[in-house]
Amino acid sequence: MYVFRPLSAAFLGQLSPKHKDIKEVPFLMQIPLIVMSFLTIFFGIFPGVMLKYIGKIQETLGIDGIRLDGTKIFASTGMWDSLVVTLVFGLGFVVAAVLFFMSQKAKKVDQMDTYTSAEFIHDPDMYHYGKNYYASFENSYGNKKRVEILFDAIAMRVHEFGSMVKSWFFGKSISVSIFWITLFFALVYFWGDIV
Amino acid sequence: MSYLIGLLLLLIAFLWQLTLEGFQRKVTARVQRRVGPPWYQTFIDVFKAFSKSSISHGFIYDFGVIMALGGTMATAIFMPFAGIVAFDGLDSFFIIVYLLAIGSLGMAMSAVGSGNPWASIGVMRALTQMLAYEVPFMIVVFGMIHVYETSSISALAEMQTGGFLDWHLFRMPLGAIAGFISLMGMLAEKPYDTPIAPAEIASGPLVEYGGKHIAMLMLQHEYAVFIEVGLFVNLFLGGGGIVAYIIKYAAVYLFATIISAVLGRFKVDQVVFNYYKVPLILALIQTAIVIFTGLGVKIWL
Repeated sequence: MYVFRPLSAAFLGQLSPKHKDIKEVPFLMQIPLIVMSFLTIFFGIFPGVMLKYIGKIQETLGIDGIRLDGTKIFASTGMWDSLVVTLVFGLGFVVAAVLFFMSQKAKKVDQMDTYTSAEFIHDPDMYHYGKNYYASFENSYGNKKRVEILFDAIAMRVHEFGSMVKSWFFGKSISVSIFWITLFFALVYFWGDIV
Repeated sequence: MSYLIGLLLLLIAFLWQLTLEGFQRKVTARVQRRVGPPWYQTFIDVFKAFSKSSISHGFIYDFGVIMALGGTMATAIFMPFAGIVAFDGLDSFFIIVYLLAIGSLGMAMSAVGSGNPWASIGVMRALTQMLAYEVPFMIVVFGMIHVYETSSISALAEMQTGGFLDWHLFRMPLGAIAGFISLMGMLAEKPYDTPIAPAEIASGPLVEYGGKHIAMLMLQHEYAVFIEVGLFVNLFLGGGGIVAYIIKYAAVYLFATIISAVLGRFKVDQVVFNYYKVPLILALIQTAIVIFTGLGVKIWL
């Protein structure tokens, strides 16, 4: 849930009008993001580079290592060739893109220009996917019995008990507090001699 | 060479599935005592939509459509059609399920990217439904993969060669029933057409689309149907040669159509409860029988 909120707020729907002035991050911050993205794609296409080391670890533990052959990974029920899968996916993507760009160019429309069967929303911000994201969950679970109520009650009682104990020893005067702290350390220090 | 076969498969899938879609509309019409459109109506619809102007809600809206069609086409290439396998050894069930999800997620991303509330509701329903029908289907197929020790769909189809009594439909009847009910959900046929409910949420995910976008999503739907019905035919009806395959394919698809033509629509929570009751129990019983007794696999007639 915490992952989907930023994901949908960043990528889904059009830009909310209140974010109009947002700028791209500086180039120095982009570099690690770009490097991470490329590494993710690279290991996705060539998992063997990383799995080789995992296979070595497995062998030192006495387990049979993962069987690899180039970009092919073999398992007991079949095999997986990430390079071919990526290429075929790329082929499908190219065919789809050709169909897309061969046809007429689409007209860009505003966020408010949507078909809502006469249920019109007048605030473009309300259309944004990240707006009030958890409302449906609050509606679904807001009135249900929740275990947090028990935890909250326990926490409150413990807190009250703590304040009571604190009030016995620590009053408003700082000298009383220092007295108890000194006594505590003195007892700890001389414990062996007293008993 | 494999890539050429793949492209050929795409062309065959396009021609065959769109023709059958036309017949599906004809059959539905006849069940409901209408005349219905001609069998080539779906071709007209797709080509007309490609020639029309369309609107765009931004990058994700466009990109999601390309990703949906591209991902589904890629899956169709891996799908064995009448024993034709483009990439030997890569017609694995796991690859097909994995790539099919990319297509669905592309469509979900694009539809939600429009910001239309109907689209968001439709996508939410579609993903919930996916969670419901995949569980019984996966349990049956995993049982099958476990006993035969292969996930290759063409190999699983070859296991059923011989008479029709060798088909999994007869060897694993409970699993086949669960599989067929799951197939109805995958095809989003009534009573499981909750995500696109036209009268209720204005066709859900498709509400904003027009022109080339809707044409591509129509194609995406046709390729997805090609894969899903193909999965059922290969896994439960034993695949077969070209003629046998297309007869089985048409029979399964039109049977689902006839059922859907006379039924109403479930609500989304009813869909989930429905799948987690009878199909799930059937799938679990079937898998237990296959794994623990070997009945239908090792022990047979």
